[in-house]
Amino acid sequence: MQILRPRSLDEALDALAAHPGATLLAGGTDLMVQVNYQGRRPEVVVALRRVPELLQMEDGFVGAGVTWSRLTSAPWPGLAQAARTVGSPQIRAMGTLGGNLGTASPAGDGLPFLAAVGAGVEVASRAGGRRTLAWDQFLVGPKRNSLQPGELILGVRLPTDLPQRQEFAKVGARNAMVISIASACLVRFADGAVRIALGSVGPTPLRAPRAEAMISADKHPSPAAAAEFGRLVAEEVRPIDDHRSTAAYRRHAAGVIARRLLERALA
Amino acid sequence: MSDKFEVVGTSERKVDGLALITGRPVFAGDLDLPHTLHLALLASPHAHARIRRIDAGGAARLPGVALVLTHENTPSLRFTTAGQGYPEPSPYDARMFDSKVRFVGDRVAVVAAESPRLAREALSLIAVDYEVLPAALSLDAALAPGAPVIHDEADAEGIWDAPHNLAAALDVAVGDTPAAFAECVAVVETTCETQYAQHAPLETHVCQSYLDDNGRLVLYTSTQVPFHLRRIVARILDLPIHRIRVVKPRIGGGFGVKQEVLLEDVCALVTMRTGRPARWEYTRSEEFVSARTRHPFRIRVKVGAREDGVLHAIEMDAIQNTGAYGTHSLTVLSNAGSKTLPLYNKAPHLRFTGRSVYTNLPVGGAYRGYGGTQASFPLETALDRLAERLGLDPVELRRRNHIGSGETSPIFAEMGEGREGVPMIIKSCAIPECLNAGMEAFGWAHKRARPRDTGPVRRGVGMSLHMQGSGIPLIDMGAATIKMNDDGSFHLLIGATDLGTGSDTILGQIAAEVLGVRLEQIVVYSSDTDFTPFDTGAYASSTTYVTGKAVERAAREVEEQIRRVAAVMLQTEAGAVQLGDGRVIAPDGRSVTLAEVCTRAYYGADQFQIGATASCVPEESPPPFMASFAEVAVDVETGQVRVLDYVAAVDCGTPINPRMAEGQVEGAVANGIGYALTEEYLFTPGGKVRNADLSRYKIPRTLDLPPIRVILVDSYEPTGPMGAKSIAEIGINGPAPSIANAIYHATGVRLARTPFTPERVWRALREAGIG
Amino acid sequence: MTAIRLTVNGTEHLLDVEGPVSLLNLLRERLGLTGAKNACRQGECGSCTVLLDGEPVCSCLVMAADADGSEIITVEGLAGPEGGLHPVQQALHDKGAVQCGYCTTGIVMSAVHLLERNPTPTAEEVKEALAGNLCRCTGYGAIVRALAAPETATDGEAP
Repeated sequence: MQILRPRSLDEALDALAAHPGATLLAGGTDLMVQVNYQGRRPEVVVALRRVPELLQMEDGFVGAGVTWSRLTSAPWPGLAQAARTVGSPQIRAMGTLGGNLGTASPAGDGLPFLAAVGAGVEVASRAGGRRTLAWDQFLVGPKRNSLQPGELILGVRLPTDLPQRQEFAKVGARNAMVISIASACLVRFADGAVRIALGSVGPTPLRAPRAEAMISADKHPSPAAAAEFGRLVAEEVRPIDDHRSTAAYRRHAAGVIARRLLERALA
Repeated sequence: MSDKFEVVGTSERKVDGLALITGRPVFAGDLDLPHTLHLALLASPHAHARIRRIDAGGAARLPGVALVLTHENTPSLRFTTAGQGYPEPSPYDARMFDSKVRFVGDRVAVVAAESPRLAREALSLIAVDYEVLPAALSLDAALAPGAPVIHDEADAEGIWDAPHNLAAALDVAVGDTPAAFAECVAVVETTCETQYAQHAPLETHVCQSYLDDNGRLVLYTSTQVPFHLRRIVARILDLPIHRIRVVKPRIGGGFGVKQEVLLEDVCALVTMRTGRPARWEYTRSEEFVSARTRHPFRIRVKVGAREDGVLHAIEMDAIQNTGAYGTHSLTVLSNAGSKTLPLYNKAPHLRFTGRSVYTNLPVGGAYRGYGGTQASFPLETALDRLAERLGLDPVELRRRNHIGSGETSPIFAEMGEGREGVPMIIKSCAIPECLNAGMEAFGWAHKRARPRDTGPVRRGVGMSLHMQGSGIPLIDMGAATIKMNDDGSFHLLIGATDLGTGSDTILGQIAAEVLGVRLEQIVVYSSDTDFTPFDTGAYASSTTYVTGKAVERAAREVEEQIRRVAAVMLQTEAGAVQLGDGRVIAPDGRSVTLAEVCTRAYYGADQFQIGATASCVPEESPPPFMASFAEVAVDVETGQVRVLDYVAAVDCGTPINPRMAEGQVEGAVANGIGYALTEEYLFTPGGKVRNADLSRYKIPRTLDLPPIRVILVDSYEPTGPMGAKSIAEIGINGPAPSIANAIYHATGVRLARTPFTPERVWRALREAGIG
Repeated sequence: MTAIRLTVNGTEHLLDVEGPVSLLNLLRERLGLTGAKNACRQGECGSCTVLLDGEPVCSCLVMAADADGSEIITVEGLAGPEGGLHPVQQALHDKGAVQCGYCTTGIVMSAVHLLERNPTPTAEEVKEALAGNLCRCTGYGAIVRALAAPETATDGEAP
């Protein structure tokens, strides 16, 4: 195995240009489990934690290498709440937002926030230069993203006009270190517009456009309207059965947390 | 009671605590021997298959591979992996390697190679041609007419009815239950199911073997049963027992899963064949799949009471899934009855029927609670229903029916460990005090009387009552050797096996108490078959009561020898002197130190080694008792259950070390809360475990648990060492029934299947039209 | 082979590491430091916790080759003011918070990190800091009682 440890973005892009098939290593919390459990033996590893450009967090940009520990005090409440529900302190110290995007698991804790706010994913390569993809262009399926060989995730670009009404929650089988059965992030703007995105209930994080449209039209939603919002969310999610729970339960739980997040945002 | 003791009854620090907390290399896996061969397991991918052909040539030829073991080149005799007393009550239905595999994860081959990676790489070079057989992947499938026969081999011994997949069966009747139920004013019948669960000790099984300077085989291993292990490995390998030494260093938790011979036979064979050290360590996934589990049960309980609220009849019909092998099948099955039914001895009519069923699923084994856990759930939830039917508080129903001091139960004589039991009169029973102390600390009356919550999150409280045992009467044996040193200190040598429970410490405290010295004056050395006397091992809540008694006896004999020497020195009668504070004191106040006594015995007149070995074979098994109280909050929209508060009030006789006793209960309750709420094996349709890791099999973390409040009530067991009974298991029995009863109190919904996962609770609530 | 430079408990090591081997394996097998335990190899149990540049990490999830230039503290590198036990170790030992001891060294490292930042944590803060450390023996109560500041150690008393 060859490991490259670039110390700048330039070096990182050079490394990836030379080894377009290289395995990217950030916090290692996903990759090393594959090494330990599936015997994965990458040939070339590009280790990213020394690249300062990936560690920036300012002006609506969150670098791919920012750890969950740092995100717990991020200025975006929805992302900070999500970071606090991530794993253990040890995982928070190592795992990164970029890792969530790279692994593209539907259960990635940071992803509902990115989807709810309509984040862009900035990527770069020597050959293709920089480009920004909308979150739903980047996350294309379970454990699949549209990163090209030689490309690196730089970070996410967040809208600058986000309201402080951001709420995140998940349902799992226990409090700490839950891999969520269903998770959701809801953002409510001053004009009543609501965005909601849900994790673990579809092949990628997904939005619930009909529910959003219905509740956004209502400046002062009643309890009945909140219940209807939850019902619509439950209709719009696309969960599957797996070892954690059935699709039916996931659908139901998604509706419950959607309604509860709305109630929290209205409180 | 404990104020009459000096060392016993105090919360001494663990004698091995410093080594553990500084990370010294004290565990079996920490040993680093040169030229070690590393072992890796080829496990069956099929639930049920015959091996038509196995070609290990490719693996054997890989450079760095020393040996490949399969059924073709290993001993073929049948044995049980269960580390129990001889003759074991478990059937001899296993081979080191067999030509048939019986569950996904069964042993097919083991490679020994220069590195762990090479060993794993070589596994893929073993070509196996399987004839896949129909599999029985549930109790019902295994019991159905025409079900595949899992143990069709001719040479198995001790299987109850192999053609019908029955490893064991039991039928015990006292009185006439059908007639008795007709005489009851209230009868409740319920059927509950419990799941596959795992002990999940933080240390997986690990064994290292090597030949000592004299060519003797040393097994340095994480075991609860060093002496049973030595006997079983000797038999499998056809080695004289004296050629084998088993050493248990510190071990990283057991909870029953290490009462089993899972690695040592193979390590031993590799070392004997190659002359080289061998190391085998289960991966976490192998620990889940190929080690042992808690037997799942389906249990029907029927209870009936007369108008005075006194139980008149109890029936329990238990069907146990023992998995692919019958390890602990009969004994866990019988404990389902014998560790629950005697609690309610007011019922004159009792019936226990049980069957242990082979399936093509992972193998059951010993697990803290040992059948008592599984059977407590249906019995204690049935009694909750019965109390409601009778209009009684659940505590009051227990008060009218529990066993008491000076009383007995016919079950003690009828049901033993794989054979008839031993009659026993209860001599210590503080159940009333447990109920009172627990109710008060918990705030039972107040919490029980609260009006039912109506919002999405609803609180409720439930309770249950429990017993366990203290060792296995007339079967278990513990022995202790004490020898004195010329500085007035003592060596305490015990075969007993400290799994982290603190037994080395409490056994040292018992010796220190008798000998009138501080604990620091006792050097405790345990679990080494070359140097420590025999002990059956750490299981069945036996160590404190059984080995503790042996230590007390050995210490009394040593005390007598010290008195005799000191009496000569003090020119008085041996019966007149007293031991205390490291001295022997004459009635007139003159004294000699223990160092002076031993120095005289070593170097003075009539020289001899002051020392003694004593044994204890218990004649009875006094039960510890526990009243358990749980408060829950049920989110009726998501089905999530949170335990808000938990109180366990326990009668364990004298707590030798109160803080360690509390720790045993606290840890067992935590384990029981995991069993009640999250822990569960999930299987593919083909019988493969889907969640064989700590990410998907969820054991409790700090944030998952409520405060667990343990109350040790005052009690004294006259047959125990310094009045003690055992305590390690009982705590785990409480959470499932107490939480189930609390969920009912919160929501009006009864759960009959553990664990109470959010989805399972949500479904039950939805069926009841709630949420 | 990758050459790396590591400072472990104050001593610098120059090591060649092979493939994606974990820091845990390196510590145990190459440096003979067995205090970090191998219990799950997936970052779930925290038994292998060490401090990497001051942060608690699961050493099973750190690729040794990527630890180049880092400073590692393991349980073997802890000591109290007079060379005895670190106060965290002393508290756990004194308060009966150790049973089998297999998870203990990882818990010690997480707790050391917590107390460096917060010398008087509440019971809840201790639980948060140890949320990545599994213990199967104790039920955590004794551990929390040992580490929480006395006035906040309500765990085990009435809620």
